[in-house]
Amino acid sequence: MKHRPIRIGFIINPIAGMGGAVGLHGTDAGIHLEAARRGASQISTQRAAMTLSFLFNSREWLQASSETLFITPEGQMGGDLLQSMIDPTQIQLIPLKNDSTTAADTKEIAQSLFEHGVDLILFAGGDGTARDIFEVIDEKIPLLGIPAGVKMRSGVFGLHPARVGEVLQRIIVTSSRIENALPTQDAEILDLDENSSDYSSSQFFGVAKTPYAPDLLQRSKSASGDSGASALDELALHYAKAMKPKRLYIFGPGGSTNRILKSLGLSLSPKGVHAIMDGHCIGEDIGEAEIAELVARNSECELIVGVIGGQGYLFGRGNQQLSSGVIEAIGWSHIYVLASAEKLLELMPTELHMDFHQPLRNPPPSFLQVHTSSSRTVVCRLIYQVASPSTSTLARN
Amino acid sequence: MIKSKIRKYHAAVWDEPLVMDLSQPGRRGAFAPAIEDEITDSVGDPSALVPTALKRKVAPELPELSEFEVQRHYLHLSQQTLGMMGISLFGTCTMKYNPRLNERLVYQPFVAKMHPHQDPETMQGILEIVYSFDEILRDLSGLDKFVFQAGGGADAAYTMATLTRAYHAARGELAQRTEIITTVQAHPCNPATAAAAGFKVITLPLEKDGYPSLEALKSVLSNRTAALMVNNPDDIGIYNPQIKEWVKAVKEVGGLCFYDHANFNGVMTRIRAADLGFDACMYMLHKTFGGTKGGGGPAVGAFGCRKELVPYLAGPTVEKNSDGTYFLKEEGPKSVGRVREFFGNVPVVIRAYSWTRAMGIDGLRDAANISVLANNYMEKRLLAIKGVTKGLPELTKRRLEMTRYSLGELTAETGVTTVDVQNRMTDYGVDAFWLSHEPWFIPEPFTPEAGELWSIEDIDYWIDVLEVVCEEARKDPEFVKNAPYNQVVHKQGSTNLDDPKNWATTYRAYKRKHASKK
Repeated sequence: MKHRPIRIGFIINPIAGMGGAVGLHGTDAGIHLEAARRGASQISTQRAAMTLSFLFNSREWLQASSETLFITPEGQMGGDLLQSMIDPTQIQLIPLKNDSTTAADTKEIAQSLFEHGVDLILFAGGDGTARDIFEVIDEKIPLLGIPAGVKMRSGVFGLHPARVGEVLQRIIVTSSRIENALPTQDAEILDLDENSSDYSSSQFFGVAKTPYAPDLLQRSKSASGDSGASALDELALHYAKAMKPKRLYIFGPGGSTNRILKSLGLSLSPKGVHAIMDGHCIGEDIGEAEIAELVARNSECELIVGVIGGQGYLFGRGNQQLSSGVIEAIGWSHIYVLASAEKLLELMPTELHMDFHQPLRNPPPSFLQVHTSSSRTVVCRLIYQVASPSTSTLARN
Repeated sequence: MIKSKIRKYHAAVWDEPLVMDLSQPGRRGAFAPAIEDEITDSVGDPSALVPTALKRKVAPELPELSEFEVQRHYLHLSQQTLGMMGISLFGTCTMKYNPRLNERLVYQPFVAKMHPHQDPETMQGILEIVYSFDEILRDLSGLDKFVFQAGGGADAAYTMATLTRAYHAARGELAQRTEIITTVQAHPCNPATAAAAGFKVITLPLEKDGYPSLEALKSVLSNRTAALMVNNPDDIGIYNPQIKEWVKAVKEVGGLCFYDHANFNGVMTRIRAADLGFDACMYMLHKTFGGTKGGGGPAVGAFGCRKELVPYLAGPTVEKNSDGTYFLKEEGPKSVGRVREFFGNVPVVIRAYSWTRAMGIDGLRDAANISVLANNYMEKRLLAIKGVTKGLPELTKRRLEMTRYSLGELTAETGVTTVDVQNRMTDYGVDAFWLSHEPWFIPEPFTPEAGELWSIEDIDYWIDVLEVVCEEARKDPEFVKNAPYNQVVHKQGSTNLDDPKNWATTYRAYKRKHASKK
């Protein structure tokens, strides 16, 4: 059986990473002009070249290059680099109206790649670039990031440009054998709030798809690729089955909690907080006041939350609706936390953080058990940030 | 700084065909003599002696070769193995030389031709060795009875998990006691066997001292606690000095405590499981006690426990009569039954017995000391190599007999991973190193262990090779990533080794799955 060639969309954000070397926490929104003034040079093109030369010099490429097509914008956002490396017959160029490289341009190109029906979007940039592409693509196409920005906390990035090359090698070889879509895994899209003085304030933007390569994409993965995702699916099925009638279940945001909703046959956004009772959604994407009201009206209530990767936030990042008041009204013994074992292991130490606008009235427990499957938990220490973020005092319970 | 002269090495490459492909119809290694008339006269047609029901209808597909060809084929294959021909600092496995004397012992007919269903009166010597070794391990652990049925460390952990089940069931508490607690650094067989025996598994994380805090343990203890399963030290090499308080806390809520002694080498004769309060422990005779190891066996996980738990042990057990003779005692009504057949992998028990008797108590202590000393010598040199860091470097406590290191810095700089380095090191004739037990919380890990076997020259040579490979990685990462070059088999493309469609563990499966290649 003859397959159509695999189509790889390719975007370089040429200004990504410029801020890092000159002490800026990112290169968004015009910061690159300041970076250039401070003497930063373009590094993302070099990083992308590392990935591509790793791929193009491999046996896998010799074997499967005829089955591979790159689709990329002309000029510095991809075309120039690819044209200098491979045969033009393997590149399809997207014409550009101008040569600017703003976030809007990235989004426009992402949209165009989607319309071209690419199987994968390979990009060089940082969390900001990932977020721009994700805003357009959502989980429709897997994303694979060449780490070339200042911050790379999102799960779509490889550890090193060469390792992204390895992921690509696998993809082009397997895609010529497998008729189905690429095997993928969930990856959180995270970015920092550039305007915040608190460097640790990671924001959660949603769950993207990325090629399944646990050993190459994140740092703590073993070569045997223990499948945390399937353990969570198993957990989701068990949890959904064991849900009790007439009980209020509040689901926090994130890909992990969303698996349980999917097991219930509910298709709800992983970004919001949802209330479920008797298998039905009784509050979609609800805010703090609505949650508080539901909790007050129901004596039996359980809160299901995931863990925000990278920094291990349980509350206060991407789920501010779950306020200190809501948490204390529900009660700690009715909070069910789930996360893949891999995600917890990336947190060294294995601690979970909380950051509330209003302080908790009573001290929280020192430890919580996080469920990694229906029959396994990992004990995590809870770190409660008592003061407001600006004073950065950490209390250890 | 490289200390040794790096030797040239190349493995034997025979590109040896499968023995089935060497076969020539009609070729034979040996011909049986024609049947003599006297035989036919007394038994008739000898082939008629085989019952019809047992006769094959179709001859088995066997390779047809001359004796010389068979010898040559297997000699070639043996030359293509790397095992223990080079230097193997294969951590967590405590690689030890298996003295030839002990090999000769177990090849003697009284071992090799023994059958466990023989009348015990005819195997008194074997039973005496098994019983005597049980006594030696009682001395080393302070516990009251050892059995050797488990076929390895994980099997012994499973013995504990089933014993925990039987113990709580006998007390009517099994429905309530559903949780087994372990740590993230414990050998993965502990959570795995606990889960296999039907328990929920609670994992305690690593904390600032290099082991979980007593506080974290206490946060999960309850009347649901069935048991604690831990290593100490574990592969991080740090001894948890609060272990007595751990055991006490678990016992206070009614749980059992199991000491996985996979890392016994550095603490032999220094600590005893029973003195720390443990109810049971496990030793690996195939690693720590000089028995043979490899390829998943043959092995023995010696499992010992306190006398209160003896009725739950897997049987049969070897016991001594008042007249000094030995007998096999079938398992009683409370026993977990059998985790494996018979009373143990006897040749491994004999090797371990012989090794331990030869070492003596002073020898065991020397071995423990040397293994700690060698590891700390190794650490100093390893950390001088650019790109190598110690796992959890913020922990200043000395590591005992091994610890995990990281090549994460080398990977970040060059893209060359720990697996690439492992492949390339074999080009210098040293055995591949062990990466790390799951889970990998240290990036790009490797876990070398010097033990007491390897000489300082061997340890230096092994470290020199690692240093050479790290230099190569910085000079030409692509080159290292495509290693090995001097080995029997070169790098397999990132293809499909883990695809069950390609596995073939029998010739029949090979023909079925790879028909196109035939």
